[in-house]
Amino acid sequence: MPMEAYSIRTYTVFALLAVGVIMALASLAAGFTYHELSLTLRQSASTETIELQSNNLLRRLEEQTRDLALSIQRSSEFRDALTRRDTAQLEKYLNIQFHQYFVTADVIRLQKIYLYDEYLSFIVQSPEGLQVPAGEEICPGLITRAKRRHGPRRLQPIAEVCVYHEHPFHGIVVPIGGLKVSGYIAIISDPAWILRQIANDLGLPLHISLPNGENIYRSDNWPSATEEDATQLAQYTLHSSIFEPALNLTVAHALRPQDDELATAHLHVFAISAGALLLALLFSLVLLQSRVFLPLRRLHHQVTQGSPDRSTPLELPDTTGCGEIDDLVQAYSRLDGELRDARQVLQSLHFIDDLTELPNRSLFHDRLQQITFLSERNNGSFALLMMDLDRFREINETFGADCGDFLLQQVARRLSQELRKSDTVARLTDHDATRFGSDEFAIILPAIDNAQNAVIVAQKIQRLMEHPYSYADQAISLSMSIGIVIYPEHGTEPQTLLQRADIAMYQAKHQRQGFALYDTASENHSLSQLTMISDLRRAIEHSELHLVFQPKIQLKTLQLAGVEALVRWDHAQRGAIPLHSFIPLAEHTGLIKPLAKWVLAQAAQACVQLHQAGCQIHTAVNISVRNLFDSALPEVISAILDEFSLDSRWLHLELTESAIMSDSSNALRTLDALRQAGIRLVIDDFGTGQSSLATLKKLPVDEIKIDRSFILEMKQDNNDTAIVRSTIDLAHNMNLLVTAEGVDSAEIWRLLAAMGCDMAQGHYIAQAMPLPELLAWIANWRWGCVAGRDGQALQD
Amino acid sequence: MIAQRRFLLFVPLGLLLLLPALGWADPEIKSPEAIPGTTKVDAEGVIDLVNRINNLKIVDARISADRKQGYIEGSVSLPDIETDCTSLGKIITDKNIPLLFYCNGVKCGRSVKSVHVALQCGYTNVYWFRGGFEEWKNKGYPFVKD
Repeated sequence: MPMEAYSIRTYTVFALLAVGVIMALASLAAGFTYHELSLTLRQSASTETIELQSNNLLRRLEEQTRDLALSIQRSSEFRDALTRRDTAQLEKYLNIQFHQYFVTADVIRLQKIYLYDEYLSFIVQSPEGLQVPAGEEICPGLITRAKRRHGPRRLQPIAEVCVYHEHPFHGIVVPIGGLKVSGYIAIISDPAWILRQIANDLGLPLHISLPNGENIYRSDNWPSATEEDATQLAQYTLHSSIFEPALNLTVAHALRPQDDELATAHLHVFAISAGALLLALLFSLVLLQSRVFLPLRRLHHQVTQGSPDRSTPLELPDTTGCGEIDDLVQAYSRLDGELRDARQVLQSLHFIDDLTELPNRSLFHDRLQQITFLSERNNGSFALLMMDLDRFREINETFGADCGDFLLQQVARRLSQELRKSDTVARLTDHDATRFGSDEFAIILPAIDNAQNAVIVAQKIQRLMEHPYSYADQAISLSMSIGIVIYPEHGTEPQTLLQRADIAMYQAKHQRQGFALYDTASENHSLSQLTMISDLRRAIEHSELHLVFQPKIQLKTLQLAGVEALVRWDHAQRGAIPLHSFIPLAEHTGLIKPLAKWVLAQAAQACVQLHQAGCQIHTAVNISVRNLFDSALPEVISAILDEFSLDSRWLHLELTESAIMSDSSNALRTLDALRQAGIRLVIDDFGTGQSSLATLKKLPVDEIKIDRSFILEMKQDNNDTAIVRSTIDLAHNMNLLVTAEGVDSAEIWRLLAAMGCDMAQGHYIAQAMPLPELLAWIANWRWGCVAGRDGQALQD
Repeated sequence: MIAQRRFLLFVPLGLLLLLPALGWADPEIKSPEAIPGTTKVDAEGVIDLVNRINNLKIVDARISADRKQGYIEGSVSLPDIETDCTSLGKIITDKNIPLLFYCNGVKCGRSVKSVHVALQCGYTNVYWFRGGFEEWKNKGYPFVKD
């Protein structure tokens, strides 16, 4: 049977409770034992007390009877009668004693008096007292013992308790005649009489009985039969001189008062032990809580809060205050380190794309490097094909990610089947990247010495891909864009080859021609590009760039709603360089990051200046899709906003439609993060891409800018007018603001105003201009700037 | 004033505390083991003398207050403080008659004193019961109370 798991706390509480119950039972048992013991002790103490008291009383009786004997023998009348052996006189004299004070006052219960001569031979006895058959004597042993003594010892009185006919008697023999003994007198009395005083002396009910049970004396307050249960009896048996049982002396203790006391004591002991137990329980729980449970819980939290891929070390405490837990912490820490090391080893060993089981980007780069070295040594050549699937993102969105995965697997299979074993087919995934969106494949074709052969392979691949794929009873067609480079014709470094294959692939995609060979004719162009790259870098660093701003006007109110910032590059030698020639360059070389940063900072600064000039409007900045791949972008922007103390709502980011439709989850994440930060996102050149308003709905976008081509054509083309109108309506339905670009005439202005377009921008209103001119322009703009919260006013 | 009174109170208290110490310091005074010129006897010796010598005179050297506690039957009371040749002569005319002295016990010096007086007076047959009445009573021999 599986055992249920409880927390240590539960076990501890149970254990402590068990100890407590055992302790309580032990204290109860101790209480009972103590009770029994105390009763036994009291009984034996009582018995001893009776013994002592009865010995005292018998000694007193001995003294009293001795004094009686001495007083008898001192009488000269008696002595004369004794000398004369005048038995009649003696009997008379002895009888008188039964009526003397001692007897009448009940001090002594006299039973018999005997007289003996100096040799202890019987002379006479008192006629009064107990009647004894002729020839018998009470306590005959007493005289026998007296006779056994000789010399001065006979002068000493001798006394004893004897049993005669089952009754106890006390006898004493006292010499007559002082130092010259002329006879002996024996006085027999009833010992039970004086022993009754025990009741008074001890203050307890007393019962005196014969050994055969016959009642001799019973106190008035002796417990009745009904009270016997609540009574403890202590009995002492008085023995005669020859150790026959002579009398039973019993005292009774009422148990109840003592029981009550014991019960109270019991309760106290129990309460104290229970209290001590509770305290101990509480103390140990508090101790355990602070020393064990809390550190354990904290440890559990820390261990579970570690990064899921164990890439960063666990934040574990140095010490918890509990040795065992510290050991555990150390073990965890060691284990964590080992896990991290093992993961690194695993990562370094991971060269296969999980989905397609093709080599991944790492392995591909490795192979590329290898074949580059090899070809360099052998003066050989090879071809590098870079390809990706067209409209893969749309397929993913339409049919789902499972379908996307399926297609990637199918593509991989067809490629592997078609190509030679010696060719390398790889899916360009990073081992730690998410699978989603990576539809790039690359092929190395060794020993291809001219471009024509590579083109043949590319065409073959294209044909291969053209067969529809069957997924869930649907036929899906795919096409690929392939970029081709040849070693050493197009480059000798792997990096250059990859870059140029990429360029060729984009060219192929752009021109929708399926494949493209890297254009050697543009070698010069790319040379000039290289110089431009360094120039651009310098331009960014030395601020050769500057921003111009084009006003955006609210059609309803004619107020200035915002400005779009545009970057201009005035090259020292080449003069003004158009955007479309240096932005792609920046995108390809990674300079786009510093460029965007510079533009954002400048725009933010300008926006602050506009605000200071009393114009509360936004500034829009164009950013590239490459910037969106940079996950640090939101942080860069918020740092800039902080630097200029500018609220995020004053910064708008304009993105091209193709950028926002990019099937990169990284880009989407970045967009979400920007939107979270309160930055408004605008789709630029809307209408030129392949996206629909429906797909737009899913994106974190606030505003669209209808492409100038539609606006410019509105005058001539009714279709375009219809497109613009429906776009405006649809956008409004989706709570999106609409801006029209390229407004260059009053006619278009009026048309747009009639259609309910929110904002307009174009030559008709104002050219893009540097900040000082803009400030002057604003000052002259009759309708002023949008007051209140931007956008809010427009939607109302 | 109050402090002084308190101090005065301490003086008798202190003395009370000293009392047991004084008693302890005082050595126990006991009679000599023997007196030259006399015959020392114990209780049994006394009984033996009484039975053997008919004209034995037993002298109780204690003062009358002690005698009231009891005395050996047949003894004559002559406290030591009253004992001299004259008072002795009144009781015993013949200096050869055996004389026996006793008092309370070994711690009692009265019989010793009386014995010395009797010897000085020229009594020749002197017995001394050193254990005295204490020994007599403890051994359970008969005594008389008036």
